[in-house]
Amino acid sequence: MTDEEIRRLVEPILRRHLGPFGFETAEVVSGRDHDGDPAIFVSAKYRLGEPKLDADAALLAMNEVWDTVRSRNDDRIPYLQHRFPEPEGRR
Amino acid sequence: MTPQELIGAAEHMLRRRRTSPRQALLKRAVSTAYYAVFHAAARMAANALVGRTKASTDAWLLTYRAVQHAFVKNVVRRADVQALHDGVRQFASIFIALQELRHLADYDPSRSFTREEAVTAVELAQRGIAALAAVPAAIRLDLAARLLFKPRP
Repeated sequence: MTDEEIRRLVEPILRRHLGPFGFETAEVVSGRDHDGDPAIFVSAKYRLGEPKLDADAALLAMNEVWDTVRSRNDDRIPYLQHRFPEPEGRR
Repeated sequence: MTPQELIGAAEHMLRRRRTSPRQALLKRAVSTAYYAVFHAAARMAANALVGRTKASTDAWLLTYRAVQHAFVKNVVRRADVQALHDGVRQFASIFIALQELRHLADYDPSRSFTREEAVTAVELAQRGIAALAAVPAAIRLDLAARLLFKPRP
């Protein structure tokens, strides 16, 4: 799958689980992880000032993204990372 | 040093101060969150294979120390291992995600973390530890063997 195909697949999943916590967009970049294994890096980007991310929601999103990638016969590990904007005055 | 003590150390680093925690503290907290989960896996393996009551023996310590980062990742990424139990699945996802974050935190000077991201990492670590603890004993024994021994082809 291309990065764009993966983004189109996972963005609705992230919106469903992470939307209440300010999820805005997803970026998907293929690459290799720290061990050199093929990997999919999914960055969930959030709006400033939304409720704090719930770890259970993050876990559900992570597992559903992995299930979705696996169901397409893609055995790469998807790494979901949460990127929050730095609050004003802390930059 | 228990996994819970490591979680406590990570939380201490992230405690709210008048100013935002420096990158060094945020990165140490992310790294410590991973190590809490890693040590939970090592402890689980030693307890399951040698016995909780034998934690002062060389056999327990040797088993604990035999758990290896990359080997665990390669075992728990497998769908058949994750299918052992929902707790194994939760632990596996969290272990793998935090291991990657730990490498970014420890070795990538260009990667910065926000407090929120570090807090999420610590909370996920707590859930990973709890998920592993909730796995039934028979499945923990099976998982412990898989985490340490390479199957013959």
